Amino acid sequence: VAVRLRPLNRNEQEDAWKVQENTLFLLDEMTGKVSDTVFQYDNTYGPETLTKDVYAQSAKAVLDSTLMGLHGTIFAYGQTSSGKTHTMTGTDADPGIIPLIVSELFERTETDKDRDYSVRCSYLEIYNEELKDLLGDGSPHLRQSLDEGVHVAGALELEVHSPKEVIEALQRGEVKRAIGATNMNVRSSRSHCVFRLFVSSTKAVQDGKTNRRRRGVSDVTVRRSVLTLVDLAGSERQSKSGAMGKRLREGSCINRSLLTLGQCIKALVEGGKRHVPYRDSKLTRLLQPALGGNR
Amino acid sequence: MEEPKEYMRLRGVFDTFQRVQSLVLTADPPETPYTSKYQARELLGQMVAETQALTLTMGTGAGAEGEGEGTPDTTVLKDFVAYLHHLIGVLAYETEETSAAVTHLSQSLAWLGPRLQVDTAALGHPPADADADAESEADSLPVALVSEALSPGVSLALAQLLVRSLNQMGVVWTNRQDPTRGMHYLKAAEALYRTHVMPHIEALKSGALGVRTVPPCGTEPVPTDTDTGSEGADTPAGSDCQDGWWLPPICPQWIESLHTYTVFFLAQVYSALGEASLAAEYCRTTLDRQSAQGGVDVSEWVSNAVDLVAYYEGQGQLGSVRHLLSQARAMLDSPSASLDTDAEDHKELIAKLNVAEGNLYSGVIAASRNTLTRWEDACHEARAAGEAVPVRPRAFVSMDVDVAPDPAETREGTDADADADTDADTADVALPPMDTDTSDGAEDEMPLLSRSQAYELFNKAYAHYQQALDVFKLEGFVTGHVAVLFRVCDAYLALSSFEPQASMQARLHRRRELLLSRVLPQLNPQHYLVLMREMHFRVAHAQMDLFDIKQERVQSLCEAIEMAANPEALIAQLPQGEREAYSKALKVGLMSLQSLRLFHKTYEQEVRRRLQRDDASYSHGLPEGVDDVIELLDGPEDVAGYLQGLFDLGRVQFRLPVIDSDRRIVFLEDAVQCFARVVKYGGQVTTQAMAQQRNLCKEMLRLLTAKVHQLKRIRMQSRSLSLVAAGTEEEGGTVAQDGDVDVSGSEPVTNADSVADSPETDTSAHGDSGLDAQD
Repeated sequence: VAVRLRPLNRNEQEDAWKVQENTLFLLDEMTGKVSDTVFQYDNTYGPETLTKDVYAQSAKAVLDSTLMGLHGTIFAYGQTSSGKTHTMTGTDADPGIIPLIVSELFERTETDKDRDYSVRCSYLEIYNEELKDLLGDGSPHLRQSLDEGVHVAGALELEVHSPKEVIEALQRGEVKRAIGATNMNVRSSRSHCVFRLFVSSTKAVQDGKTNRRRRGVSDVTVRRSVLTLVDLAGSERQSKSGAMGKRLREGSCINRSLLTLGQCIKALVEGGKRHVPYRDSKLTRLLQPALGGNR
Repeated sequence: MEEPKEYMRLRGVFDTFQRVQSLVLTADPPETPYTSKYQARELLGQMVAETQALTLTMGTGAGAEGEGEGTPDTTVLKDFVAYLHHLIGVLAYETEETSAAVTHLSQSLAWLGPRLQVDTAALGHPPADADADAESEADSLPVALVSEALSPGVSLALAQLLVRSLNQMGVVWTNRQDPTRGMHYLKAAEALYRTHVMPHIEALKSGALGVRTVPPCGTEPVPTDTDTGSEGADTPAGSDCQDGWWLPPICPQWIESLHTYTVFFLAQVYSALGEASLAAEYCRTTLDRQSAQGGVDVSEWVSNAVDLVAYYEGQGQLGSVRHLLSQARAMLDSPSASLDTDAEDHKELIAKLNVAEGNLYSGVIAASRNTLTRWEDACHEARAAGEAVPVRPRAFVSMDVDVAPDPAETREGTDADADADTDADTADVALPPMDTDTSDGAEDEMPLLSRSQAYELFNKAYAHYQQALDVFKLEGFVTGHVAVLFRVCDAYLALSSFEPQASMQARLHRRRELLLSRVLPQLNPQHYLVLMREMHFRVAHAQMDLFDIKQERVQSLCEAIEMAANPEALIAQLPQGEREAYSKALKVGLMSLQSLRLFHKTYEQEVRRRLQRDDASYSHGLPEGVDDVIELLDGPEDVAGYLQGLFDLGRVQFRLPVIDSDRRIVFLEDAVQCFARVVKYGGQVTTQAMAQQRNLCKEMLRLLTAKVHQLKRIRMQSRSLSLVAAGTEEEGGTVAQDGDVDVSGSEPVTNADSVADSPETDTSAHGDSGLDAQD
């Protein structure tokens, strides 16, 4: 778990936290000095940290695992206006985790002489517990197939061959995405966005004399993995407080997906056979393979 | 007469109020969802400033008393300011500014609470140990009766505002991961409803309170909380400036709906606090209130009811299950229900309802079986103690009635009833009376079913399950499909206990086995390992039940085989039918062994995956310092499951009617290892069932070790005799083969006790305790 602090905006007067190594210190409201409240994480990043450094220290390893055939998930979690979209998507000048990871993915698949790769991508939005395909026009549903486990049926999976194609797909999805504006930040997400890269590879057969790959000729073992990049909605709330009639057991008026995500992570961290409520929200159902395998 | 200047300013404030209402109700485009709300917040802020300024002016004016406190005008203005703070708080929350919401809602509570003699200040600071005794703490909240200083109408109006603020605070704190604090606010709202609202509802509806009421707005029972509801309200100048002139007219249904919100939120808060029974109680109250008030989203209601049914089913409260399911069906069948029956979500909802209905029928069979089992156990104990056998529970000859019969009538029964458990019983479906009492958490005691009633209920359950499976197809809904299959298997198992014929029982167990074993090969263990584990276990148990039946048929033969010096010859002499029965018993026993081993393998695969994930260089086998794969399992629940499998493995191998003495010894030695591992690791599981199993395993270890020892001696003697016989034959003579063999089993046990009692028993050398190289 990594925590990134964004720079203060003009509405914010003074720092509330101090970052030192992997620790966050809460500053005393009155004195501005370090208080006794301390939180430790795997990584912490102060306002001066660039996204490319966050990527190098916290995200790159996930890409490494994906190329080894393991599923990986990166998600940004935080209050509205805390900079999740900036971290995940970024700008042309300061690209986010997604463009950085995509760029390196293709760089490495191109230079890997031992394996042949194919990459597909999908872009989904979860809004009010409904799935929306941001790349296609279908109506996606979460389903379980005998071979693949949990998957999204009816969502377009676009075959991509370069970072440019991925970015174009992302931009296409952005047009369809619900973007909200708040007074804390003009650009703020109100929905969860799930961008998935399906990476499959087979061992390339080498030509002994030229040491060149003979494309299209490979053994039958296919290594498949999914890299899921999630830009979560603001952690404060999604729906109206008075929204009646949602499912009672999950706490509907409270960000259901995020609440369930928190419960799933808590249950996983606590270990044992504590019930992990993946099925309680679309988001956790979709992320189940990444969060806890087939538990 | 010229209007006082203050009233003109107040009129201006009130005009702004109308604009606020209009803004709050504006539906902004998705791109800028909060624009109108921000504007409304800004206007409300201006209204607060203006009203507070007026308060100061009027407080120091002609009508002021002392420092301005207590005069009717300033008090009313402060009520109004509190209301404005409430609205700002709600809007702040809706626009994702929680801390601002807390600030404004606190200001609302700080004024309105004392007005109604409610100590709201204490709510924001629950004691540190609130988690430990949250319920009793909430019950003792200081909520007083209606203040005598207020008219009932104003008191009611202020109370409903206070309930709204308390509800909102409950939601806010729960969202801030502090459900205990949220619960305190909500319990206060609940208490306030009882003390300040409920006693006056009827008077309000009849107009006796002198408060203006309005009918509910269309079919929507509850307007949004930020609805200022001021339509038709008097302006200050148009009223006599009485207490509460600014309040919107009261809608009785709205007030009731506010309380529904309270119990709805309490259901969620108790769920978050892990208080399942309280959560269920509030959940049911919410559903009942929604149902009574009408105008609910039918799909949502049914979905919630089905979820709640699962809880009641787990508690054995089948009367409550039946009541809720009946309500759900009625709602779906209602002509006013507007449903998109072709939508995927609707189909899935109906499938879930079908599963719940199937579970009800199946649950009645199982509960009835439990009643029978309890009675049989009681009889057994009575006989052992030399006491009179208890009267057999009465058979249940119930009509499928919609009205709950008198409990006394259903419980007492007559002598004639006691003898009524025959197949000649009525074919009417026997169901528990519908339980409409939300507070009774007792498990329903189910009277006995007759065989025909059990079959009829089973058929109903099966029909519902089939309808569910039509939606929850295997491809697409793997876990949902298999979950229904599990339920069908449970129904078969429950039904089997009503079946007197062994052959029919066997048929039912065979169906249990086939239902799952046909699906198992289709699943990818990469994704469904845990599901497959449960399936293997269930298949194994169906096979073990089959094995029990088939083995009983050849019991005497098995005993003869056990004693025979030449079992092969004994088998060869058997009639064809008996030989087949023996083969079937052996075959199904071996099948159950195979299923149990596959069950264990899923644990081992999971461990291997974890080891590989944590250490890329890991290939196979147990890591250094680990004696048994059990030590690597993920928590006591997994250990309990694995040990249960070992216990079953030991039991089956012990009873397997194998002829070949070498194989028999191998099976028995493996059973010894299984029981020894249960003894060694069973201490990690602190359940009573495991303690009993562990004791049983110790006992089995003693017996089996002796038996293995005995069989080995027989084998050795038999071989010696064969050798002697071979030698004698060479000399032209013969020797009787079974004359000197000791089969009494009275040989003293040398080391079984120490093995059984020692938790340090070393089983590491045994192959089953490690990890295979292959998946």
